[in-house]
Parts: sequence; structure tokens; C-alpha cells
Amino acid sequence: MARSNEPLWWGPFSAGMMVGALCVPALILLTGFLLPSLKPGADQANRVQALIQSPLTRIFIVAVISLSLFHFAHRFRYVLFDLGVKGGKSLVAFLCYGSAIVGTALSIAIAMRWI
Amino acid sequence: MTPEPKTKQLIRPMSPTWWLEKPAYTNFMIRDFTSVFIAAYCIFLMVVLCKAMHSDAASFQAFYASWGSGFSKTLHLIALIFAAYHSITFFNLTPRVIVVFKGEEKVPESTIALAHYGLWAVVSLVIIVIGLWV
Repeated sequence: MARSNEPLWWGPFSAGMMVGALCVPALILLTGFLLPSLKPGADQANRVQALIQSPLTRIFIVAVISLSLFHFAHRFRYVLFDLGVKGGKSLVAFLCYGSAIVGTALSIAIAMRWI
Repeated sequence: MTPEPKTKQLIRPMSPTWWLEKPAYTNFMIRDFTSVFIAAYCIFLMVVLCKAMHSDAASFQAFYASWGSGFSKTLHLIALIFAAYHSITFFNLTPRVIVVFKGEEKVPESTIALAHYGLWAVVSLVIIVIGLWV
């Protein structure tokens, strides 16, 4: 049997599953409904901007983005497989995990103001 | 040239719509697809992060105001439904994955699931309180 690189991807996948389950619904509720409905206006906008600029929030947001993308990558790879996509297995894996790696690098670069 | 194999390889036929045949299969597929919506929300988070890091106050205020639009709320609602589905099905599953023994006794499944729901509630509350009353 060929050696599998499965365990490597399973760590971020399961971490993303946990972080997504715990944090993402509250974040969506916050940015989609609670903030615009309860706290509209320039004052709160300034506070939210300052909050996001603080290092801890940046680390948190980058972690949520990165782990969720790895979770997505691993899931979507198998969704395609389950839906009967037969050819190009390594291409699918490359594109899925590649997008998660690029997304992670991009969000780190944004958070560090490199770009 | 390689000789033709004597036996035929058997490949079980799989219809592209197999996951519509049983509700359990469909739920499985919906659960897998929740990750797409969560990833889409993460793209939005990246935009939020980018604007917060680069915009001046006035343009961030305009961006912040756009979260209240019907368009934004519709997309958020769709993402919220799928994200909540992911959380609920995940927490319901945790007792099957995490088996805890207290001495000789197995901790009941409901306790483990409830502990995760409790954790979910606490984490959500912390995120919302920080976001609203920072």
C-alpha cells in the first residue's frame, strides 16, 4: 500500500471542525445581525476596527480562517470523491490543500500588514 | 504490451445522485457541504481583517454600515444556518468519538454531549459580549 499523507491533513482538519463548531456561528451572528442591528453607527465601527487591530483578535481571526479552510479542503476533497469524480485525485488534493495554504499565508500577511 | 487481465475488474456502479436515496445519506452530504459555507464566511472574515488593517476610519465606517444591508443579512443568514447545522451535528456526534471512563463506569453519552453544548454556549457568549461591548 502506498504511504498515506492522511495523518498530516487530519490534524488541522479536526481542529478546524472544533473551532468552526465553537466559534463560527457566534461570529456570523455578530457580524451579520447583532452588530448592524444593535450597534450601528460610526462609534461602534471605530471600536470594532480597533478591536480587530489588537494582536489577540488578529491571532484569533487568522486561526479561525486558517483552520476552517483546512477543514473545508479536507472535506471538499472527499465530497468530490463521493460525488464520483474519478480522475485527477492528486490534482484535487493539490488544489484543495493548496487553497487552504494560500488562504492561510494570505491572512497572516494581511494581519501582519505585509500586504 | 501487457496481457489483458483474465478476470474482469468489478467496479460497483455509483450513481451521482446516490446521496438522495436515503435521508441519512442526504444529511451526510449536507454536513459535508457546510464546510463550503463556513469557508465562504472565512473569505468575508479575510476582507474584514484587510479593511480593518488598511482602511482609515471613514472608509471602515462605510464598510461597517454595509453589514446592515439586506444583501449582507441574507448571505449571513444562509451561512448561519449551515454553520449551526455543522455545530449541532458535530456536538451530537462527540459522545461517539470521545468515550470517557470515570473509574469503571462509562460517563453517559448525554453528559459528554451536554458538556460540549455548554462549552459552545460559553464560547459564543464570550465572542458576542466582546464584539458588542468592547
